[in-house]
Amino acid sequence: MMSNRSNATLEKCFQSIDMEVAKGQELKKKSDELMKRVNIKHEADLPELDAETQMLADAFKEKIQEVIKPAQEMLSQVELISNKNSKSSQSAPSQRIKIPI
Amino acid sequence: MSPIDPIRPNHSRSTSIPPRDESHQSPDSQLVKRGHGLYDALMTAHNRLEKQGEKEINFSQLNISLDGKTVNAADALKNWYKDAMALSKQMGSPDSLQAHEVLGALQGSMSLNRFREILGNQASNLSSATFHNSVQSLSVTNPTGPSVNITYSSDPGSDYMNIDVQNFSASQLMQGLLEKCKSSSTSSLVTNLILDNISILNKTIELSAKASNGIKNYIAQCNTLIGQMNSAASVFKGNNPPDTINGESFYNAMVALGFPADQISVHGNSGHDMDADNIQTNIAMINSRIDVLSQTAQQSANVLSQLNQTTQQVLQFFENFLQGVSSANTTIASNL
Repeated sequence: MMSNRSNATLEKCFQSIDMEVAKGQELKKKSDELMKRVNIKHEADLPELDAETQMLADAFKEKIQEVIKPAQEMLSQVELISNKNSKSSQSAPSQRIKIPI
Repeated sequence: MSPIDPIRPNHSRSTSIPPRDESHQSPDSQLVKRGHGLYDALMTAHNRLEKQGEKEINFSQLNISLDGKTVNAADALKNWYKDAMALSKQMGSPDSLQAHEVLGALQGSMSLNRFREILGNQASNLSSATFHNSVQSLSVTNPTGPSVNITYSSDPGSDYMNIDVQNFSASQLMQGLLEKCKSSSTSSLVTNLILDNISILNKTIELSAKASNGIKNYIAQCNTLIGQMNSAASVFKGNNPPDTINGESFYNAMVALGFPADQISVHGNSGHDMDADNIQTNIAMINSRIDVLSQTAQQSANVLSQLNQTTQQVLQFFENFLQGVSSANTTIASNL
């Protein structure tokens, strides 16, 4: 009979995931704290950015998008569904893999 | 990369010639490369003349060393300007080259001070590699790293924007924004922009973390099921093995894990009964999915790591940003 796929590489990968998830949670806490320190003005009340600052701002947004894009690609391969839904799901085969959470 | 001094075209009054920026890649790289060579040779000649106490430079009587050869400075300048002006005319006005002044002086002489000034301006032009009137350039100095060079055209018909940021991280762009906002009233908008992007990063991290944990748990469930199927299948190796076993629980577990019901291997038309081959086929199907998901799990770990790194950079610079702007603009951070 075939063995399962619990190998060292996979375990290492899971450890990386656990570590990065924990780090992400810490960063979320830190960003929440930072946000509390700022009084956000409504954008409608603010002046427009000058052209040069706007260029930097756009370039900054592009940089962020570059980081987010691989995440979106990864997420597009995996469709997250609840356990309840997955138990009743008997849909046709799909390119995407549904992951119960 | 070492810090680069800010380049301020057309405003040089310094007696020293500004350093040229070799980090910038230009679309007109051949011309720029030649210009750099010429610039270096002329700078050497200039320094020599200055040391000799000369007040004027006479191009036609000056020999310079270019690419290992000794050439006449007037000829070298004429050739370079000819090509540069051709390119400028193609793109816009050649005014920024101040070529008319230098070319006019080629047959005579020019004050050493004025030549130094023009040379400084040409160093700026070469650094930004921009000769067109319709194109403007912006250099933002980052005190802790390289400057960010942005070149953009006011002509919407052309390639509207060429931002040379591929070598710059988000944090360096953040630093550029900070520099801009220290002396402007736009810091509130920039704060909102940073907060928006932090929110996006946080949401993406949250979703990616869910996906990563989901994949991890899913693979664990798959492996548990495979273990159970292997145990159950061991009866086929015993004495008097049965033809089939009741595989309903395996069937249901596989459906719950999202496997298409009609692809789960069962024995003939006997409902959910499974023989040894059925079980092996089903285990192979589960393992095949685990293989695919293993790659996705690795990818998600990498994605999370990258997201975390960028978020950390952005948060660090956001802190610096708040500290930086709080002295200039207390309205956005009155709690500080």
